[in-house]
Amino acid sequence: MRIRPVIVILALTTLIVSAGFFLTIANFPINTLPSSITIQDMSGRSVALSVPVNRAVILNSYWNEIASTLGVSDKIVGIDKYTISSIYIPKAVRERPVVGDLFGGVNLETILSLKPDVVIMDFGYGKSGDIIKSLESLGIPVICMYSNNFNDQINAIRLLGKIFGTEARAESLINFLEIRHSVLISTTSRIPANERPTVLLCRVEKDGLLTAYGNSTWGKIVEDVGGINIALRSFPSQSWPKINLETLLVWNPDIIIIVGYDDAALKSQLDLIMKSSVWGNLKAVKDSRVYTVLIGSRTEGAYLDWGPRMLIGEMKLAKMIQPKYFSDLNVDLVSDLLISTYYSK
Amino acid sequence: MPRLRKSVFLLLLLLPLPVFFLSLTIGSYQIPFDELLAILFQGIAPFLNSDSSQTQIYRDVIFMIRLPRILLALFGGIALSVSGASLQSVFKNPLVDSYILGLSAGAGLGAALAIAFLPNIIGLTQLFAFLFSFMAFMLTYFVARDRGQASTVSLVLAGVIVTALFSAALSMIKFFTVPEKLSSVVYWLMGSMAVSGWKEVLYSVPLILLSFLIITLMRWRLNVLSMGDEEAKSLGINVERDRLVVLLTTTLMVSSFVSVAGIIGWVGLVIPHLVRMLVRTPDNRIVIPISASLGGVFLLLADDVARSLTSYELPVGVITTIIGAPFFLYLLKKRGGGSWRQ
Repeated sequence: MRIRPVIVILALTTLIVSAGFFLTIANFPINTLPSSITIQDMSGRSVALSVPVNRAVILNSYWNEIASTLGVSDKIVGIDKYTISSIYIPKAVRERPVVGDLFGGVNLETILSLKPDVVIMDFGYGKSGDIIKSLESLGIPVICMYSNNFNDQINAIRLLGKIFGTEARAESLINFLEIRHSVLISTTSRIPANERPTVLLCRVEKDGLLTAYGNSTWGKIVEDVGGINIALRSFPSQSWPKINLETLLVWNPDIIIIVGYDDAALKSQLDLIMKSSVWGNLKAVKDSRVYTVLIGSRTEGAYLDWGPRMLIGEMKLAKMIQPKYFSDLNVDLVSDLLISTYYSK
Repeated sequence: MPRLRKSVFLLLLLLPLPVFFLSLTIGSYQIPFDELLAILFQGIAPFLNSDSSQTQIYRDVIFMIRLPRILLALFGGIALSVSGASLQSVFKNPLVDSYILGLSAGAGLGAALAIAFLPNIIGLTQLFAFLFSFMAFMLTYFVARDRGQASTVSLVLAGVIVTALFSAALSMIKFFTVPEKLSSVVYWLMGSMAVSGWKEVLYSVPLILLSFLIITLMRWRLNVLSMGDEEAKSLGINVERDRLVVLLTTTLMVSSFVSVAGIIGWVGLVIPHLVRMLVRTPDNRIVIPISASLGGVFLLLADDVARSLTSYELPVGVITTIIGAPFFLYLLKKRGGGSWRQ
């Protein structure tokens, strides 16, 4: 029997169309139907979870901030005590029951009474180990989070998107951040070694000593945007080495950047350090290359922090450290865009 | 010496029982009273059955969260207050508690070392706190020993020196450690039973019970020891040996509790003092059991406040101090410390 070409064409067309149809169906986001999946969390554990979760207790402000930017603030049912003071988290979230924190411990009964589908928290410090064990023995799944650099933040956003069933929003945020971050990195790669200034990113303590940001998330940003982090080079294994004024004089960095949680903190730090005898002899002071940066989440304009705002923090440091190479960078524009797109209250 | 009426003695001794059941009903998770009764007494009273959909979670709250913590607070209070009462007898000084021998400083240093420099393994901090508080005591004892004897005065002085030394080492660690771990150390020092479970009970309660038994058996000897070395010796007591047994036993009971709960102050000071005023006698055959009973009740109630006053946890060590210190002052002002026999 001969098969007519018309039938072959018809059959092929039908096949392609229906395949396309099924693929579309399969890709269609069906958020309303929870399904049990196994999630690899950031400590490498496999956690069985019904996604998307509808009730989450989140024990760190930055993960609360990311969850809020993903549009699921209504699914956060319990918070830690540091989340209250973040102005970048919607008020409704900040008014949720506080269940404790990772250092002082959490009230297990309060967490149970909130009936969470999952608890999301940092691991590796404070009482986190005991908290994770207690929660799991009560049958509450725990997702462990961790961050040491920009890429960890991206992974965290992706993970939270998966948990809350908002993958599309998460990818859009990741795209926003990654494009701009990669511009910073590629611009930096063109800066010749002899044009990279030495930088000290630090906090002035009340006793007059300086806590420098070395092998830490923010300390690494200094190198990412074309500076030589003198604390990181001197103490490669220490995250926050403490130094005295004599060491400051020996290092004599080209640029000094002082960080603080609010304007008052910055002012009192500057007052303290400017009174010291070595201040006038420093290269950065003579060249007027002393800057201040707001960190954390307590004040409007604080951008150097974990979470999506880290990008803005990077850009601010870039402009301070390499003004020539980053002259075109419009930080305000990007921060306005980030806030208006992802932080709408 | 006025004798304590038997009924009052029994009443004080049994006080932990009602407080124990009261504590089981307290917590931020709402459990209806009939459900609670049913879950607790189902075994002995089968007519009380609870089969609501919530039963499993209620059981978890009661048996996994509340019960271990209540037991820990109860026995912790016993350990702190009995050790306080015993040491006050041995040192003939009402202002002494187990921390004078360097225990708290030792536990603090051990915990700080583990938190700051060792990997975050569950149980390691507790183990280090226990070993170091024991080490601090041994150091105190051997510093104080002179020609085979450790007099009470030299023990107190050695305790002060060891405490100073260990505290300095602790400050050094605090200085060199990173802020995150520093916070952990500071919170550990405040004392809390927030995430304590059966594991902590298993680590500490058997040791506390064992040492409590030894001290209870030594009640009479404690009386003799408190008369002074000369007199005790004349009564045929091996002062040096018995004193060492008391010191070791109190160290064991306090270390095993402090290592799981952190440093909780004032229980060992306030409770024995209060008891002596209440029973109007320094006789350890009465003071020790009543101290145990009231010490357990005090820490249990303080921890009830810590876990139920707010949606989060308050550090219980701070609560015992806030209640204990002014109360102690009140006792001293009111009674002039007259109940202590010089």
